Amino acid sequence: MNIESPPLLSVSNLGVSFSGKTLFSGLSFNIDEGELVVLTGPSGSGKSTLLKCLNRLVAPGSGSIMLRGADISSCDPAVVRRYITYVGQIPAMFPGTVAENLSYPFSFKANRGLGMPDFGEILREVGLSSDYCVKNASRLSGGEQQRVAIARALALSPRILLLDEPTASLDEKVKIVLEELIVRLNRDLSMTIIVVTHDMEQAGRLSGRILNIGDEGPGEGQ
Amino acid sequence: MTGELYDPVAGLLNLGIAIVLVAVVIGLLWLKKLGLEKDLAVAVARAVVQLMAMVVIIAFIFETGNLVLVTAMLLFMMAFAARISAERAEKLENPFWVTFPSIAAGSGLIIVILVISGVIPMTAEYIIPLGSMAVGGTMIVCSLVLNRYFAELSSNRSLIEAAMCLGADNEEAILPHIRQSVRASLIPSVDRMKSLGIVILPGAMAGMLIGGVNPLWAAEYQLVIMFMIFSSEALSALIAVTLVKKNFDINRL
Repeated sequence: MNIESPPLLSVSNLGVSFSGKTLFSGLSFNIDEGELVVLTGPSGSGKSTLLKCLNRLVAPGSGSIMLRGADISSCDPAVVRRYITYVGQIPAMFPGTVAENLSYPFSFKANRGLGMPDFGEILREVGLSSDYCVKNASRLSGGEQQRVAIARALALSPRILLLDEPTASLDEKVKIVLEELIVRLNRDLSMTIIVVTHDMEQAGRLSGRILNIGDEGPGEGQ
Repeated sequence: MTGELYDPVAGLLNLGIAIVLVAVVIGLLWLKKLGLEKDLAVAVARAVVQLMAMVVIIAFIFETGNLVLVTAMLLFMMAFAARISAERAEKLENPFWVTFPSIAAGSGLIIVILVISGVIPMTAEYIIPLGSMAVGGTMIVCSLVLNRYFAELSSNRSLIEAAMCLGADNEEAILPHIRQSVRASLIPSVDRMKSLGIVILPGAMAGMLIGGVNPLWAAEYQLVIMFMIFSSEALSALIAVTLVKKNFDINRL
């Protein structure tokens, strides 16, 4: 970590409760630029909720989240989400072609100043050819849709990519392809990635820093 | 009825025949186990009682010709319509405060414009029946738009969340679904206008023709009514979604 600048992401004493039930509390950790962090923990421990707190989809009950020293709770949520982009478990495709899916986020106010990248190149980064631009996004396979969802997030040049169980609904073969993609994005593009998984074998294959938010509270693995 | 002497015996007989007809339909629904018979029986009873009570009040207002009473009557109709429409928006904490402004502003504004411009004469005999048509139309559209809005949001939760995760603010994320809700709510009104005169001879025009009014004048007035109702409905749908979208919270879907 560079001692002159704050960590890319700093989480302090974070806590979330729903209907009086504490999902997690006192969660603190830092993430540096270019890290691959694998978030593990049993079902219901709040892994997905934690990711949603990081991009302001869910408001935590206590604690703070700082992005390069700036408290994200005082920033415009739409802008936070451009920097910390979340890709859900089941990829949601907007109506239209893959190219339309990639260009749609650029119509949002928070993204209007951004230059649109070469979509063919973005698709190649996730292992799809540029021919996919004209394909109907809703007719692609689950694995292809997940890659388009990742490409759609990458097109916005986020600082942190949040992947919520990205292989949960995929078969073993496609799962491995996506794991390789995640490792490659982190290694080749120095993309900071936080991946949620409950599969410890997958956590091992991704070979990132393991952060466990199990019943006994937050702890560092590996 | 053509304005000749009213015969109460013949009137009650006609009503009796119509009620027997509805009772037969309720019996059929009961036999087919559609589960609608109770609702329909209550609706029929309410229609008879409400309309008869309303006739007494309207006759009194017509008699006095007092415009304050006319306004109070229309406001009462709007509040009642808003209460019924609010049942379609149970997910809101205070649905009445979405439906009442939508119905009141949607129908009220158009009625005021038409009265001020002289299209509708400023008398109780015109304002109450025409106003009630506008209020009734906006109530249906308000119910449709709210019903569709909540259905759209809950069935498209993942798309809305995906848009928000890519930088959309709340309004941008739900905009396609708001458009779809408004479009769907206005389909019956648009279809009614498309088929006007060919499939549907609307109530007001039919009544005027039966009453012996010049067909051209009846048609002209019917168009005024139709456009007034459509404008009220469209305005009401737009106001309803504008008010309801302020309460949008992705975590409450």
